[in-house]
Amino acid sequence: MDNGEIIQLTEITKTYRVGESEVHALDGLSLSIREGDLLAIMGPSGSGKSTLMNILGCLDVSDSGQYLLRGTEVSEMDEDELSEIRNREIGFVFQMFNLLPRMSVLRNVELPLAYAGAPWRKRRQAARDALEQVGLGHRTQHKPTELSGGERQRVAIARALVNRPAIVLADEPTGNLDSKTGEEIMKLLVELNKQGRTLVIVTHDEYVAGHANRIIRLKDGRIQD
Amino acid sequence: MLDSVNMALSQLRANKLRSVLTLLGIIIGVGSVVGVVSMGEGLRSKVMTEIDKIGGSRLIFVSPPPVYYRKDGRWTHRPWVENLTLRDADLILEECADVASVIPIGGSGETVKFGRASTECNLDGVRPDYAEVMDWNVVRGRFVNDTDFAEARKVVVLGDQVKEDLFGTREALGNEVRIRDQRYVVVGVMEDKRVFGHNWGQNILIPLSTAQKRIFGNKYLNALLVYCTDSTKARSVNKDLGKFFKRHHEHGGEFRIESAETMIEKVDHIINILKMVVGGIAGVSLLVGGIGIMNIMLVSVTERTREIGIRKAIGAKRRHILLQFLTEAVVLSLCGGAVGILFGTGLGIGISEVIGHFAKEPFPSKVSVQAVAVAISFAFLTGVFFGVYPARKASLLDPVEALRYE
Repeated sequence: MDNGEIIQLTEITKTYRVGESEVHALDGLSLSIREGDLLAIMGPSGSGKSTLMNILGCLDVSDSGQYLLRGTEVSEMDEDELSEIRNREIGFVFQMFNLLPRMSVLRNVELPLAYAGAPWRKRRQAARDALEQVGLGHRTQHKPTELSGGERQRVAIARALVNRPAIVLADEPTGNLDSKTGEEIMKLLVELNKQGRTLVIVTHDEYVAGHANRIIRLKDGRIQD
Repeated sequence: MLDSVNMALSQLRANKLRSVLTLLGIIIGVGSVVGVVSMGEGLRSKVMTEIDKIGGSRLIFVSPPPVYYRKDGRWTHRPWVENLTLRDADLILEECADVASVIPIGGSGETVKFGRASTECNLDGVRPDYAEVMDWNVVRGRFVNDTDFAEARKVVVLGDQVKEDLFGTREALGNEVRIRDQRYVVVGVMEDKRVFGHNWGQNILIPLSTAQKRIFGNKYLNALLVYCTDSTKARSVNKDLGKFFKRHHEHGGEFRIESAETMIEKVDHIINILKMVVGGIAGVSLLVGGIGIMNIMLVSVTERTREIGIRKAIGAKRRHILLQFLTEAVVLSLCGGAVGILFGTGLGIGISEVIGHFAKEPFPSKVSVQAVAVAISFAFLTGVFFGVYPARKASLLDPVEALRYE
């Protein structure tokens, strides 16, 4: 905790039952992430990437082990407490963008603040600021379907930032974009990291991982050296 | 909360046909309640205004026991006969408190002739106070006066319709008309008046004394109209009259004493039965509508599994999701309720128009605020009741699973 660690995973295990057999998705994994890190998590499919991502993102809890997020133990939390943690501490950027199609861009970005119970005026201002930050301050009233893929991902990034989370988790953020747009998104993420954001990018793309200042590679639920 | 309502409305707009079909049950349920209750209220207010025309709730109607009565499922002649006479009328005025006036009613169907013209009419024997108490005035000439009554004169006051039939536009006053080949001098013509669709213009009025002597051949009356001093006294006067007849007649308990209030109670009774029947229909419709809502909400939850996953990922708690889907269900059913109210109002007006058309007089439909409130509350409760299960199902979705849903 002393040297700027915001995430400390210790001996995390997670096992799924698939039919008769058990799959050890994570097998005693330990990892620490420091404030301001830009960490890339790589590995072939089935290596436990998604499971690690879900646990880091507090979407799921481990079977055993310890997860300290800014000093708070999250492994024992119930679903609503996890929702609150996700809302406050974690920003998600998905491969599929995952915006709500019927809402305007601004409303999409506001949503995490709405769940946090922020007052209307504050919500609106914070959402505008976040959109400004990703270079979309001029498209607030559009519907996501009216935007290009790159713009949608920028909206998603704005939504991830709006609550000033401890960490932004990006799952294949360029996976659905052409290489030029993907490059722009990566530039934006690197820029945000330079401003002090802690970023974790899950990817199988070496080029994307190349932007990171630290890469961990997973195999069979363990970190390879 | 406002967000949820907006979301719900946009969800409705996105699936217009589906929404309308789903809401049919609610629309029919709410519509039938509002429609029938509006009609009932219309009927009630119609009865009230008609009753007001003949003295309103101050009026108590007394008639002698019917000669025939129902015994063991067949109509049987009573072994005794009781009659009303003028003596009853005068004694009521003397003995019963809070009675303002008593109008004896005695009448028969007669043919009245003038020259070659003749018409069917209803002949009433009256006393001089009749016109004032019944609020029915002469437009030409004068009414039956005290001397007419005391001397049993052969004078007649014509209803406007009878005057029209016999004289057309010619002067009627001073002419002699023939009733049962007796000659009566026309001294007045009454104004136009209709009660319960019955045209009083078909009546002719002669002194009661004359009628009893020359037409009926007896001293019996068809009925008494007893007017209380105040409508609040109607109930107690009604009771007093019951005691009065028991005191003065052997079979006094068999006299029919009906106040306007009991007439209104009868109408209310009919309306209540109607309401219950329609309540049943509405209940079934709302049940069907509710199941429809549950169905569409379950479909909606499945369709929007990914949306639920996203919302949970960015921090929605169970209750947020629950509230969102519950709000949608309630907004959905309230929309159905609103359409149902329009539909029901239209239905009420439509049916009233049809009745009015056949009854040949306006029959009002009155939208009841109470019915609208009840219908809306039931639509609301239906939405809540049938929305809880799908909403709960949505709120319990696992975020990881939901996000993976295609």
